[in-house]
Amino acid sequence: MGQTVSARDQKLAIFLSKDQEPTKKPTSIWNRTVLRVSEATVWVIVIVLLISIKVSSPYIFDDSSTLWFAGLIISFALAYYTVIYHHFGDKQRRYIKDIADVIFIGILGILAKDYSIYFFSLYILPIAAAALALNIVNSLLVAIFASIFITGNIILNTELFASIEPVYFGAFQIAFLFLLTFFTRALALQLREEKSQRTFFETKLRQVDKKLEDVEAIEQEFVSITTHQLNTPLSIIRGYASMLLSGDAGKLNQKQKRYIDEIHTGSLRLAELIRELLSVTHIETQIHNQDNQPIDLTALVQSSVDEFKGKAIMRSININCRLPNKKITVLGNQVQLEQVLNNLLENAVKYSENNTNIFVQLSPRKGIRSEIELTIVDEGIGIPVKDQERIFQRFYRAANSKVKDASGTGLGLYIVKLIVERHNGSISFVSGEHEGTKFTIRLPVQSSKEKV
Amino acid sequence: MKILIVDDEESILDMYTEKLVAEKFTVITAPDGIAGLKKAEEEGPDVILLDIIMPQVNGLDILKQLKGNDKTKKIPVYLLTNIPEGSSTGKAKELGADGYLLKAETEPMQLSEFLKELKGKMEHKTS
Repeated sequence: MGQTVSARDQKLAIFLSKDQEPTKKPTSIWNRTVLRVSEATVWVIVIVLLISIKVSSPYIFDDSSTLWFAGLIISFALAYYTVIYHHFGDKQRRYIKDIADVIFIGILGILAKDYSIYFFSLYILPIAAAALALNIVNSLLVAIFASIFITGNIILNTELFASIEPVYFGAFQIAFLFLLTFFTRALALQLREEKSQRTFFETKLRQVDKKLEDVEAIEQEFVSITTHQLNTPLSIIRGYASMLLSGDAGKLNQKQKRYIDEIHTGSLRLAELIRELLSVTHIETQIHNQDNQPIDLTALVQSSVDEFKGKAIMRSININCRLPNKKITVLGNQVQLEQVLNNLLENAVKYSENNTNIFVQLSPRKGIRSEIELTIVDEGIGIPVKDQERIFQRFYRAANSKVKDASGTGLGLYIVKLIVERHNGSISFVSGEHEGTKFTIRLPVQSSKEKV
Repeated sequence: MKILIVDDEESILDMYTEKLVAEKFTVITAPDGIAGLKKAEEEGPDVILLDIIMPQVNGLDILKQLKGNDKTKKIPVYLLTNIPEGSSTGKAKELGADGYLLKAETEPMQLSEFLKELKGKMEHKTS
């Protein structure tokens, strides 16, 4: 899997390097400064106000100060609300927000009643500012609704400025409102910028994904055509050599027979190599895992073992198979898992001495019920210690394997590992020279409860 | 049993033809898809072996036309190609191909054995 991921990352990197990040607008520094300054100022004013009320007024909870707090809290709530809201912006939430805005303004109007209603009506400003920076239609709707509501309140309440010292409060409020307006607008602008960047990357990611799919298709197509080109002359060589060997062109002398046999054997090896290279490329280039079919591993192991029994019996090798009595379902690609079993069994048979045993066992992993363990043990020539680290590498063949049997591409175990990892599993082995080898594969199983 | 082989590669046509004739099959060949279609219609073979990659008309298009023609749609078509099993062969099966043989893995003798087996099955079916 490591190989595949890095290949994919490389492609991604190449693709991304062609595009630049979105250029940041020059306003962003300005925005950020305004944001920080106005934020700080707002808080300073709030603190100063709180202190001054505490110090100057013995009646903390008189009507006017309550109103003041209500106004402050609601304004802040609105400002933050707008900001938080638009940060996650989607349509439904925006409608809810519009309604909520109107309700807030309404509550504000009711609270203000006959007191400093004019000033409170100015709280529309921050909302309008924030909304303008984000969505004009929504902001207008909110502003209109709020205005109607508050104007109605003003008309209903004739006793204006009934509270004491409305001029001071008014002055404070106006200053405060302007700052709040700046604050919300700056916040909103910054958010819009972030949002556009996010959208940019999201679009980019989607494009990359699409491109990778295309690359995958092109690669598969390329491999397909290349294999065709390689296979065509090969099938001619192999076919004619086989015909010569079977005496279709008359009887051959010993030497001719030996030469043709070499050609034929060579072509068989070439065919195997092409087949394995093809499956490696296929698995490696397959970025999207399309095959997630439930597969009965018990049946699969049984059929693979049956297939190899004939080959084994010819060399008096006994394959002992221990399988669970029930279905064991794994998710994956049937052909690929078959290949895993075939490659491992083929190796086991190939590197076993005559009159020996091979043990195949499928069982739930001890302690971990969500994993199944498949072990294939042979009593063959084993893997020399110095080769053990490298047997899963591409084209690597242990030194003694070459002595034992000339054929083999050095891709078998690499493919096995690739496929097992593609299925979120792992493979390990223990081996001693002339003592045999034990391969262990662990795969996540599909429990009977979560059937597909 | 009459076999029609459609392939643009002359050496391959010769190779398989020689073996199949020696094994007492009647073999007709076509060097391209159009000729293949024509021969399939005129000669009514029992089996068609069809290559996929051919100049002018692709084997898949030929397959489509064979399966769309009342005269030829009942003839079993096997893909005899060097295109590895994959999207093309999958598509061929969707279009109604009966099977797939990779040329590089099918020596003339093996093809002949395959056809003998097929012949047995077909006779068994009709009887």
